[in-house]
Amino acid sequence: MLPKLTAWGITFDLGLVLLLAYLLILWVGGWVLELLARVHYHKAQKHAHQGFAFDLQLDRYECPQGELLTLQTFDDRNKLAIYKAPASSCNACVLKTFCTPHEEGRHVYRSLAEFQETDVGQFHRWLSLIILAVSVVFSAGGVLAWWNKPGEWLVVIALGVSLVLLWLDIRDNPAKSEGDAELMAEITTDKW
Amino acid sequence: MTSRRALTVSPLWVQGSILTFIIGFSFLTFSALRIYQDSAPVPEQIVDESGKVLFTKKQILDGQEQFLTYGLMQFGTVYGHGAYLGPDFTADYLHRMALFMNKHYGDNEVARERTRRELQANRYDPTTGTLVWTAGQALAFEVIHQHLSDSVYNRTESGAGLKPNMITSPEDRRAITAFIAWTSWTAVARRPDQTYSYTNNWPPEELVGNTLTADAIMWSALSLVTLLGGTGLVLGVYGRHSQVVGWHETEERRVRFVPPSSVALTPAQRVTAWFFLVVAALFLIQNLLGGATVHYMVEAGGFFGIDLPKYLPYNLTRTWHLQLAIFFVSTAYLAAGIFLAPLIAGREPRGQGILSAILLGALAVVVFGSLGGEYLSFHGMLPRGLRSFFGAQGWEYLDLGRFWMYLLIVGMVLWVVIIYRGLRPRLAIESRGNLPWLFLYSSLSIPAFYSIGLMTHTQSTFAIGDFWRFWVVHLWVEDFLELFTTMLVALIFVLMGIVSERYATRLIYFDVMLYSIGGVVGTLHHCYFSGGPAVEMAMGAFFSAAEVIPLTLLTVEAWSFLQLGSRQQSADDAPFPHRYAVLFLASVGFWNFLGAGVFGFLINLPVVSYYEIGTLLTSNHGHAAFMGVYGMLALALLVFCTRYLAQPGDWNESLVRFSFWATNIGLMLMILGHLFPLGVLQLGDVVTNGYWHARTEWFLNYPWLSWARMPGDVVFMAGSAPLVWMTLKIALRTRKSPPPVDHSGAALEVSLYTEITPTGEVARGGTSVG
Repeated sequence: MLPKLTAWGITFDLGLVLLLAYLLILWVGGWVLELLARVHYHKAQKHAHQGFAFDLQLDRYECPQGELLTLQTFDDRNKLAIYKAPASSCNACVLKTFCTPHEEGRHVYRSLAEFQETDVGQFHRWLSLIILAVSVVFSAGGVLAWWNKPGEWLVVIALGVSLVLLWLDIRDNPAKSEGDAELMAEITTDKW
Repeated sequence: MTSRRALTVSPLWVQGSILTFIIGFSFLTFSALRIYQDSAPVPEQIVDESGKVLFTKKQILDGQEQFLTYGLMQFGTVYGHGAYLGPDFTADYLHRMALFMNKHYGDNEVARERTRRELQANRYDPTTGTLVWTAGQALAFEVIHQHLSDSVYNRTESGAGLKPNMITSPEDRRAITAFIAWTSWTAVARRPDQTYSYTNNWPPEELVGNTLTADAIMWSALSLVTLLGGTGLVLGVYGRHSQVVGWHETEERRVRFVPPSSVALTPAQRVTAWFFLVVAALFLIQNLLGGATVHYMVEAGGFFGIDLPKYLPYNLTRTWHLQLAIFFVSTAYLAAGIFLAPLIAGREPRGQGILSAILLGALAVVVFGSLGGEYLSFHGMLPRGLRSFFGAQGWEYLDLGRFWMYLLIVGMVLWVVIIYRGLRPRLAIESRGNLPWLFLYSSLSIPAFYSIGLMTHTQSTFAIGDFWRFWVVHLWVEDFLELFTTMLVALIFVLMGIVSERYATRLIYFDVMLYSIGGVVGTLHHCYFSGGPAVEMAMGAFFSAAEVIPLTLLTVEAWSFLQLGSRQQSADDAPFPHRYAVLFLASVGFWNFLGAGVFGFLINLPVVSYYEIGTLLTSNHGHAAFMGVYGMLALALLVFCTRYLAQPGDWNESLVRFSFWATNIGLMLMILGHLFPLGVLQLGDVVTNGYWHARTEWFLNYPWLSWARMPGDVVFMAGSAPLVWMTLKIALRTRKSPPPVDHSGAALEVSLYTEITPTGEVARGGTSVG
């Protein structure tokens, strides 16, 4: 069996320390998983617009050559706003071969969907929930194993933390994720 | 003469790939030469101090063959390589020998010092080929032989996952102990003029003075410098040029998918419906066997009261579990290759359908023949001379008998012929560095590098046999299958209009370079402790750290790759037909990140590997990486291809959705609920109580953690069952659709999508690749 550890005059099982460390990994892991996925989602979104400046006030993009891409149409079903530059300008542009294969002018598709509304967002969200659910099971197991033993209060707190994190994650549904895009835009700016 | 299409990428990509490939394999060839010169010797005879012969070289090599063909490498390990229920025979023998000798010499400090000195002394004379053992070593041999006979070879009743009376021949039993005793001698006797053993002091064992060597620490430190410097350099360069390589596109494209029921199918494509039924069936059986295998951790003598070991002992269920993992993934790859070839070439030559059907038949013969051979071999039902040929060779992952291995290689060559015939019209007009040719090269690499496994024989000196085995286990599985995976994913994304051919081609060249730099020579990190020369450890340590660099980049890439799925969408009211194929591909990216990247990194460094090898953390990495990457890709291929093969009424999106979530959630539960935490506890036990102890049935101390595997397994298995039902329906009622022809009867090319813009549709004449 695992040896005991003594700290601050209290003797703990090494097993308890390992359990708490594992719970910490699960809590952080569940959170980091979703965060990384969101960051990369927004980075991937931005990749397609790289070099194009978006003006929120005027609702248009400006390309590196100074051409304006104005709002062309909405695709409600896929939650897309589609912007387009004049074909004549693009076809005469020296950067065309690096920019667009079309003869109809460069398009930019701005997604209005939140991360959690996408399939890949749902995938990560479920994995994150599973990770936090595992932390609840392990911390509940810890409470049973260390009940009436030194360190009991630690596993009780851990169970509480696990439950709260799981509840927060369940509560964090797409309807309540307003501002996600703005937050992520900040995180994924080029200065980082 | 037809002019070829120009190379779609800069020639520098091709030149760089060839150069790094040559450099990587030069190192590996050098290490192959050294291993023949410097591996641990097998003495002609081992004698006691009076000159009495204890056993001979023939017995050691015979013993190795019996050890392998009775499936003991799929029960426990030698040098840390093999299965995890049984002990590590090398470490266990060494520990028992040291304990016995201590007691025999008086059980005090003087006795302990004498034991250490006697065991470390190398009394092998290379001129006569004779190794002299002390009285303590000779007596220990008899005692341990008796212990192994009672507990492993010749049990009186089922237990420890093994059936009773497994090995009835006393000569075979003694030969196996001779082999194990020899491995433990190589683990402790110091190399001539060196202070470390033939295994670089592995296993860690206090009683005999085996600790990490100075060389190991030095090379670990240097490899860490390489790791940090290399990672910084590569990430820096990648960050600067990530627009050139990687899973993204300059301009997002929106496409309208041709409804699957409108896409014409060729005869060979229709045959693949049966391939995918085989994939689903093998996958389900593989899962059930995995459940039986892991159940032995909680009930070593049976299965809920049934005497399972009598018929399906642990070593057999585990062998089949591993073999079927390779078979179901390979079958999916073969089928996908056949399915994609006409999409790339735009047409299909006559006879492809018949050839594909022959290949399917050959595959069935190999799969069921080899599994049957393994059963007969492990149950001792084949004559000794035929066991390794028709039965089992027994090297972990190369378990199948040699005859079946030859047949498998022939089958894979036939597959390459089918691919070549299918691609030929396209190859004739493409530059030899373009995507269709890369597809052919990567297909060719699969039989080519699997064939290298033929260098491993059941009577090869262990270090040499193991070295060639890892050309298959590491180089084939971790490098060339990984490359083929990238190839297939890239092709599918190109066919679906998600990335352009130019980006996909760059990414494949980039992968070749990454794997050639670290992955190829990184093969040697499996060989630190198998009795090979010290230079293997130096190169292995240095390059296995370098191997982490592509793994790190892989994790970065995996996240970017994941996002492609999120951007895929249908452009009009027609539903996107590949929602779950893309989601399975997204999960490939996720598991590549976690399983190959994070869990691979966790155990790759030499100082970690010294303690970690042969623990559940390896199994943790294996499950997350193999099932997560190759398994999920196999399912993605199944879902992608069967979408076109199914009659509209036979396609059941709900079943596929259930399979997707159940397999991913089940795998996650397996990892987090069982393999990872138990692996960490086992690693802690290695450090605290020694390697031998951590490889006993120590996990019986954590029964609830062992049972925690069950929910994940059940969910995962539930996910595999619906695919069998769906593929059975599709195979029995494959959609009939004649190849498209124009008004003159000439074949028309097929496209899976058309690209659209807000102002109208852009027709994409011809296929998507190119």
